[in-house]
Amino acid sequence: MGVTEPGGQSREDRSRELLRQVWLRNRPTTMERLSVVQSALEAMAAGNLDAGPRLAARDEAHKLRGILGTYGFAEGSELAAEAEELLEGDGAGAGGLAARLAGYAGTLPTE
Amino acid sequence: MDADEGRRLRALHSLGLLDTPPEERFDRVTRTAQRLLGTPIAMITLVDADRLWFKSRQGTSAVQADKNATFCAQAVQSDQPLAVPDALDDARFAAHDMVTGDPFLRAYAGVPLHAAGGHRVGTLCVFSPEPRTFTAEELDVLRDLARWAEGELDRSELAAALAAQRETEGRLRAFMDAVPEAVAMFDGDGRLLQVNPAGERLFGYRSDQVAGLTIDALLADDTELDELRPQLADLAPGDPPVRLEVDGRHAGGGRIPIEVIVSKATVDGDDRYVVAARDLTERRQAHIAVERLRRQQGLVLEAAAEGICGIDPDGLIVFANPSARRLFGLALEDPLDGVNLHERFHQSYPDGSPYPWEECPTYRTLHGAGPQRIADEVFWDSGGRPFAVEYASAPIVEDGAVTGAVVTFTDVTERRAVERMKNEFVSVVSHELRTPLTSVRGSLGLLASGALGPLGADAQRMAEVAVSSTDRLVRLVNDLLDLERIESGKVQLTLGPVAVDRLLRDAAAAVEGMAERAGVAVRLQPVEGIVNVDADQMLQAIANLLSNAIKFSDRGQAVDVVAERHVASLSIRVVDRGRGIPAEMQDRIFEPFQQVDSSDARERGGTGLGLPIVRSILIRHGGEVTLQSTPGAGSTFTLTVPTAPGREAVPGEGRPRPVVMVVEDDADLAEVLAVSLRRRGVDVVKALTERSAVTLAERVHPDLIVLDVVLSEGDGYGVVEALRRHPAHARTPVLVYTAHNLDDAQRSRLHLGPTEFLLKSGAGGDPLEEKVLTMVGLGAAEQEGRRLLVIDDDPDIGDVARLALEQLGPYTVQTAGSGQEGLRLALDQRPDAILLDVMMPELDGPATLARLRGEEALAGVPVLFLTAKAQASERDRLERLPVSGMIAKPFDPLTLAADVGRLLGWG
Repeated sequence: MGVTEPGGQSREDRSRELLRQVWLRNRPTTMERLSVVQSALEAMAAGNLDAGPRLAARDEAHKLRGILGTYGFAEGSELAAEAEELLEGDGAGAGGLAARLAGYAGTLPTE
Repeated sequence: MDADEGRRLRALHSLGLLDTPPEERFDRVTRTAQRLLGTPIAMITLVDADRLWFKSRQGTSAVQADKNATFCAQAVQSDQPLAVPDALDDARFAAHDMVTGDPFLRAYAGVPLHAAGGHRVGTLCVFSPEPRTFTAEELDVLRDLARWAEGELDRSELAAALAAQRETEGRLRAFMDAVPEAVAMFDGDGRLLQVNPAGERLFGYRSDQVAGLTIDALLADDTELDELRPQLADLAPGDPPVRLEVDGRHAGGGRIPIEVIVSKATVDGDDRYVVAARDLTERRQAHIAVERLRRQQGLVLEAAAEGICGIDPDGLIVFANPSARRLFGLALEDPLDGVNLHERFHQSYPDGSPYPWEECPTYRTLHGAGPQRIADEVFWDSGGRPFAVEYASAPIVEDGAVTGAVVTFTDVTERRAVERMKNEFVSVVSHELRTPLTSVRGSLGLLASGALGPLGADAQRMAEVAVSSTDRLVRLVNDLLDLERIESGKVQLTLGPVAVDRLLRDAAAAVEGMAERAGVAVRLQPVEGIVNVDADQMLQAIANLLSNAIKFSDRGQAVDVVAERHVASLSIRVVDRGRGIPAEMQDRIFEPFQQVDSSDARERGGTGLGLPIVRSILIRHGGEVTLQSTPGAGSTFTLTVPTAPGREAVPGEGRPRPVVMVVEDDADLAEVLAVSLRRRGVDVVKALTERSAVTLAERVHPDLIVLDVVLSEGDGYGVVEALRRHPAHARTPVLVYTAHNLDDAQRSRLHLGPTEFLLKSGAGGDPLEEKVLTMVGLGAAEQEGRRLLVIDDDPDIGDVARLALEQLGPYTVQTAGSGQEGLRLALDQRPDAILLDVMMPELDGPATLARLRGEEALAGVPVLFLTAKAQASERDRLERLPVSGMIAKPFDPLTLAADVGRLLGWG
């Protein structure tokens, strides 16, 4: 890997750059999903999350896990996986996870 | 001695009479002479070179006399009789001893004796001591008696000739007797005249039984003599002998194969056939033995269940056994000789793609690579139907050169089916075992832990034995299932990027407890980097090797796991310092249930399936596992997995990407051009100066030069001028890309190969891109690449996938946000392959797949699942579905294009 082409910039570098641009373009949908999951977790912690929204939030978490990992945001992907599992179970620790997600969302690159 | 005297003496000697005892036949003559002529002495004398020898004498005891001046010496001088009435009166004889002394002879009469050749060899003569006259009648009598004596001389001559002949015959006989081969002579009527002992022995006769035998008696009854006769009749004396193979008849009645050599001679006008005969029994038996062997080999070939074909160096069939014909679906009378084996029956790979002769293992055999054995290919019968074969090709080597090959093949269709059934059986049985085993293990665990109440010491020990034995059984069942699933291809590779150090750490963690209990340290030497593998399977492979290494290490020893990066592969070595593996076991160790020591299964808790699983996993990854081991010093197992995809090619064409050299002194513009061109499937090199342009062109041989006229060092004219001097570059196409309007003179100075001009407009690179693609032969059509459809309900994933596949692979990508939309697009667009998310609302992956598979128009379009780790539990179910592979989510955008190509076999 890391084959440097005659152009001086490797294909990987160029692709990472393009990936960054895709991320920036699609950032709003991801941020929105993060906040959906975060709200659901908070509601769950408060004990007022119905089954319907809970499953919807679980699916959002599932998608987040995939896309964040694909962008290379490993930590975000792991947090999303935790959320997915939690939204399927009894909800223990939902409040803490909601807080961690909120904190994490702030670290995602904006440029 | 004159010549006449010489001949006379030879004639005398050949009589063989000198110095022989007196003979009655001569004495009879001398007695008669004595009586008739009334002389006391009568003799037959032979006149030798220097003496007179008396063959017969009457009235004297002398046996010989000095030749000089004797009467007889005188007598043989003439044919006339010599008569001397009184020697004392004859000057020739008066002084002779016999006259002057005892016996005082006075009268003599002698007649010469002629031998058969007319030579006078001696005399018949009479003497008297008294002078006397011999009358004419008396001399006639003496002459008649001389004729009688001459008759006796002739008989002597004949006897001598016979003796000589006897001697010659004796030598001939000795010679004949000594000849080991039978020699015989027949007369013109076929009667046996003579035969040597070898001949007697050959035919079984004693020498006293051969007289009167005929040729018919010596030949077997059914020998057609008449057929032989014409050959013999034409034979003339002096002709080369005729050679025949016939059956002789032995005296005992048996049959003897013989070779006879017949020549003809004429003896005294009579025909004689001289026949030499040689016993062919041994030779014929050897011949029969060879024939039998040949027939047996033929039978083996005929009877062999395997197809066997011999081919010449060009691959043309020179022989084929009946099984080969049967397997090819040919009748016995269908011509097969001269048919090209590969082109007719092996022309395609199992997937139907062309199988070039140069790639065929038999081709390698014919070109010195030695025997080849292939287990997983197909031959195509005469009806074009494939059948699974195992085949081997072995070279035919004569005098060190390969003169052909023998190809042996078996139809393994049925065997494959049986293997599949066996594996499925193992799989089902193991599945069925697992459930009760789990409850047995659980119950025993509860018992042994004391959770159900305390046990007595014996019962506790028994319970622990039961637990550990059950654990072993569970491992065995699990390993059996794993091996069966991997080998049957039920487990599909889910390739994804994995950090090498992560892989090593996880594997070490999996065996941590075991290592601690064994007191063995596991030391890791990872490398940086990502490897694209099925993480679960690769982890299992490494962990299997680690657990083996720990089992066979002593307490306090260390096991090393060393990763190394190579140009196109990654290797992971697991090194132990245990007892090692004997050389004779090293080949078998990867086969199921081949433990070094049969007690290992009990003592070390192995199932005998760990290494086979490792090997299967590596093979599935296109890698390998190898072993170096020194008994007593330890073993090193090396896993190797390929890391670099092959050289990128324009899809479907298999040709390398064209190379374009951009000569442009504005580094930013050069980079923009390079990026946009690379996106269109072109490799780009950049040169900023005249000198670097010329050097680079010589090195990379560009397919096209995009040339700016104004450069910071040198200029475009200089580049063209320099390249015109190189025959290799003088025809290189040039696209002059300049901000200046050029006149005709300037333009002609920029001509190299096909040359075009484009004005820099500042309005983006599109016109340039199109021009470049046309000039390097990549029109819009060629540039399109394979079309993929990505179906994922997350549009962001679709976005990233499209980016990754289009930027890093030769693909154009469409995306669909749901199963329904995907179906519609698939039917509309007919993509070359589909990437399908498993987990989607409404129509999920498997349901979409079922609908896709239900569409005839989409038959054969391969589908890859995009599946998240969470669905690994469903893997069993997903793996049974008709997909070409799986890609783990989240995927690495940098390797996605390569992974897709690999899974779809698009290399």
